Amino acid sequence: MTVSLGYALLGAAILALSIYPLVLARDLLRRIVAANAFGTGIFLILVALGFRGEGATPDPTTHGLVLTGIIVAVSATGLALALVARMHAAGARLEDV
Amino acid sequence: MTPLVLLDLVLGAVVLGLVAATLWSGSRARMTMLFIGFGGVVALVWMRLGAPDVALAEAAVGAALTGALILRAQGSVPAPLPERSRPWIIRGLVAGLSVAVFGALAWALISLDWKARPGLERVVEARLPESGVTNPVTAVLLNFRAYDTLLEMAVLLIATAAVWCLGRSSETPQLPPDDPLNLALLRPLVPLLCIVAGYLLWLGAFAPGGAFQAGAVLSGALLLLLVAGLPRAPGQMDTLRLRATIAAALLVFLGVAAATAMSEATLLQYPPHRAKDLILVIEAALTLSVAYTFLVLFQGGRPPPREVRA
Amino acid sequence: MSDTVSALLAGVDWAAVAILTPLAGGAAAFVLPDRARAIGVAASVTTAAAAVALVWLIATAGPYDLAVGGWSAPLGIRIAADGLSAVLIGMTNLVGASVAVHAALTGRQTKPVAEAGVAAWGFWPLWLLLLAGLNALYLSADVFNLYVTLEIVGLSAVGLAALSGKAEAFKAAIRYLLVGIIASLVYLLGVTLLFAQYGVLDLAGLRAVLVPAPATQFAMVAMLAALAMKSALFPLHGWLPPAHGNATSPVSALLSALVVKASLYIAVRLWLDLYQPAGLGDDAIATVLGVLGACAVLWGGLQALIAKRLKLVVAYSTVAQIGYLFMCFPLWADGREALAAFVYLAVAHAFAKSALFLACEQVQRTLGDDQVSSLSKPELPGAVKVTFALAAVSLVGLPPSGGFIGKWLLLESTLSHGLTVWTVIVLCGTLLSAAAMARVLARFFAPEGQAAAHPQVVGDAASWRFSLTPLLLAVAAVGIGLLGAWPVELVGIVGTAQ
Repeated sequence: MTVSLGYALLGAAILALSIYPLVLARDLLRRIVAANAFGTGIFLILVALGFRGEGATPDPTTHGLVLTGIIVAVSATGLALALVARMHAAGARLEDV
Repeated sequence: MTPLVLLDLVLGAVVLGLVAATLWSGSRARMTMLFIGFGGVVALVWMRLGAPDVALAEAAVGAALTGALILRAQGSVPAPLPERSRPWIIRGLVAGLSVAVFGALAWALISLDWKARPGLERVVEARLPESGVTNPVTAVLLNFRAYDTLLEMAVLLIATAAVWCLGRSSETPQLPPDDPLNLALLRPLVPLLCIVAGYLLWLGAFAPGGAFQAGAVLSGALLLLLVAGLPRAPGQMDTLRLRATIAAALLVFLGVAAATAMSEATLLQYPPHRAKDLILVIEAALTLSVAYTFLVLFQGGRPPPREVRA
Repeated sequence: MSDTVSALLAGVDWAAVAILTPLAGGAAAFVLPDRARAIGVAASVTTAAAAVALVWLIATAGPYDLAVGGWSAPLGIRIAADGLSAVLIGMTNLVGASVAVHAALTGRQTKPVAEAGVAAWGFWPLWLLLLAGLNALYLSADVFNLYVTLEIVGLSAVGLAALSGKAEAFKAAIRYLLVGIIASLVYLLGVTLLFAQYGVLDLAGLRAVLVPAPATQFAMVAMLAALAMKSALFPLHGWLPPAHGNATSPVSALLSALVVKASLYIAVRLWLDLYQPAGLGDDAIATVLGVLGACAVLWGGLQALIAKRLKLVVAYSTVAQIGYLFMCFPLWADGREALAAFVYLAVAHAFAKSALFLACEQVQRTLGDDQVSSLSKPELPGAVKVTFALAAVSLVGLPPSGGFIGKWLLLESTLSHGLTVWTVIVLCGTLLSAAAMARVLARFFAPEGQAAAHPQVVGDAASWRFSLTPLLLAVAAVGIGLLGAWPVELVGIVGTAQ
C-alpha cells in the first residue's frame, strides 16, 4: 500500500532530519526537542505499518506500542528538563555537556 | 488526483516543513511554538491513518504537555550564547550520517512487502471478546500486553521520584489572582476538563479513549489550578495523600498482578467474567496517577512538606 | 522435609515474585519515605531470596517459561529464563542486596547533601525500581518489552546518579540521560523494523522466521549499536567515567557492577539466539565489536593508570572490563562454548567492582577526598586495604579468583580460534590493570609518616559498617573460583530459544 509506505518514508525523513540537531546542537533544550522529533519519526513508521487502508481495521498492536512510547518519551523529557534546570541552578553552563 | 492523495501530500509537506522549521529555528521561543504546532499536525496524521487513540494522546501529551514542559524550562534556563560553530568536518560527518541513515532506512522500508504485511489485527480481533472490552487498543494495552503497561507505570513513578530527588520545586509563574482572565478561565474550564476526563476514561472500553488520554486531560485541569495561584490547589504540599495518588496506579496494578499470580491462573490472567471491571479499576487508578505525574513533571521538583506551609 | 521444600520451590512463581516484590517495595518506599530504608532492605533481601529460588529451580528443573496473562505469543508477552539469564539474575540480586545492606548500614553516618536540597531517601525507591527493571529485563523474551525494561533501568540509573547533589554529578547525569534516550530510540527503531518485516515481537517467534533481508539487517545493526552505546563500548564510553565517578559510592557500585551488564546481556542474547542462528551473524559485525572491545581494554587501562581520582581509576577500569566482554563476540562464531568466559568475567567483575566502589566510601570518609596522591596517609583502616587488594586480585585475574578463570577461559578460546592478536591484547590489558591497581595499592601499603608517630590510628567505632560489605564482596569475587564447574553447567542450560 503506497499510503503506508509514503508515511513510513515521511517518518524516516523526520528522524533523519532530527539527527543533526540531536548530536550537534549547543542548546540542551533543542537537543531534547530533537529527541522528541526522532521518536515521533519512529512512531510514524509504526502507525503506518499498522494502517490497512480506509475502512479496514488497523493493527491495534502498533497503536498500543506508540501509546506506550509517547508516555515513556514524556517521562524521559520531563526528567531531562528537570535535570537541565537543576544543572543551571548549580552553576554549570548548558554547553558543557 | 483524489482528494485523499491531495490531503496526504499536503499533510506530509506541512509535517516535514514544521519539523525542519522547529529544529532549525533561530530563536528558542519560536522553536517551542513550532514544536507544539508540529505535534498538532502529527495528531491529524494519526487521525488520517486510523489511529484516533494515538491522536488523542499525541495532542494532549506529545504536543500540549511536552510543549508546556519545554516552555516552563525555557523560562528558567537561559539560552546559551552563540559560540563559533564546530569544525566543518564534524558537521559534514554528522550531516553525512543523517543522509546515510535515511538512505539505509528508506531502502529497508521499500524492500518490505507492503501488499501483504504481517500483522496482529486478525489475532486481536479473534480474541477480543475474551478481553472484556471492545476497543482493540484498550484490549492490547490493558489485557493482552498488560505487562508492558505495568512496567510503564514503573517508568512514570521513576520519573516522579527522580525529579523529586533533584530538589524543591521552584515557584511556578502564576497569573495574578484577581486577573479577570484567571477567573473566566478557571470557572468553566476546570470542571469541564474533569468531566471530559471521566468521560474519556469510561469511553475507552468501547471507543477511542482510555486512561492515558483521560489522565492527560485531567492534568490540564490540575495545571490550570496550579498556574492560577490558588492556595489549596493540588500538588502544593508533599502529603501522604499526594504520594499515594502518584503511586496509586502501580500499587493497584500490582495488587491485581499479585492476586492473579497467587490464584490458579497465571500472572496477570484476569478471570474472564471479571476482566471488564478489573480493567476499569486499573484504568481509573492510572488516570489519577498519570494526571499527578504530569503535574509533578511540570513543577520540576518536590513540593514543601505540610509543616512548612502553615 | 525436602519434599515440602521442593513443593514450595515448584509451587511458587518465583520469577513473578522477583519482579513484583521490588516494584511494590519501590512504590511503598516512595509513599512512606520515613520507612524507606527498612522497606528497602526488606524488599532487596526478599527479592534476592526469590531470585536464588528461581536460579535453583532452573538448575534442577530446566528453563523457565511463562506466557503472561495466559496469552501466548504473538498476542501476549512471554517471560523466560535459561542458564545464562539465571546466572546474571543471581549476580544482580546478590550484589544488589549486598549494596543495599551497605547503604542501609552507612546511611546515617553519611552527611546529608543538604546544600543542594537533594533527598537521600530517594535512593530507596529508585534502587528498588531499578532492581525490578533488571529482573524484568533478564526475564523478558519480547523485544518491545525489553525496550520498556531498558527504559526503567536507564531512567532509574540516571536518577540515582544525580543523587549526590554535586554540579558535576548533574552534568554527568544529563549526559548519561541524553545518551540513554538516543540509544533507546535507536533500539526502538530496530524493534520497529523487525515488527515491520515479521509481525512478531516474541524472541522465539522471531527466531523461527528470521531471514537475512535488508530490514532485518538494519534492525540488527541499529539494535547492536544502541546496546553498545548503553554498555559504554569504546568509542561511545565518554559518559561513563563522569557518571560513575561522581555518584555516591553505593550508586557507583550499582551502576558499574549491574546496570552496564544489562544492555550487554541483551546484545549477547540477540546475537546468540536471534541473529547468529539465522545466518545474519556476519563475521564482520562480531569482529567490529571485538576490535572496539580491544580498544576499550587498552584505552580504559591507560586512563585508569593516569587518573588522578580513585573513583575515576575504578570507573575507567570498568570501561576496560567491558572491553573484555565485547571481545568475546568473535569467539562465538562457531558455538556457545566460550559463553562461560563471558559469564565468569561478568560475574567476577560485578563482585570485585562493587567491593571497590563501596570501599571508596570509607576512603573518602577517612581522608576527606579521593585523590590518588593523598592515599598514603596512614589513617586508613586495614580492612579497606585488604578489600582493595582482594578486589584487585580478581580484576587483574590472579588465581583462584573468578576473574582468573574468566581470563583463562578467554585466553584459551582466543588461542583455539587462532586469534593471537587478541591474546596479546588481553595480556597487555592485564598488565595495564595490574599497573593501575599496583599504583593504588602501593600507596595504601607504604604510608608516609610513621605509624609510630600516630599510635592511636584506628578507625572510629562506626567504621566497621563501612568496611564489612565491601570486604565480603571482595572475598566473594576471589572465592568464585572455588565453585567448581557448577556455573559452567548452569550456563549450559539452554532455553527454548528465549
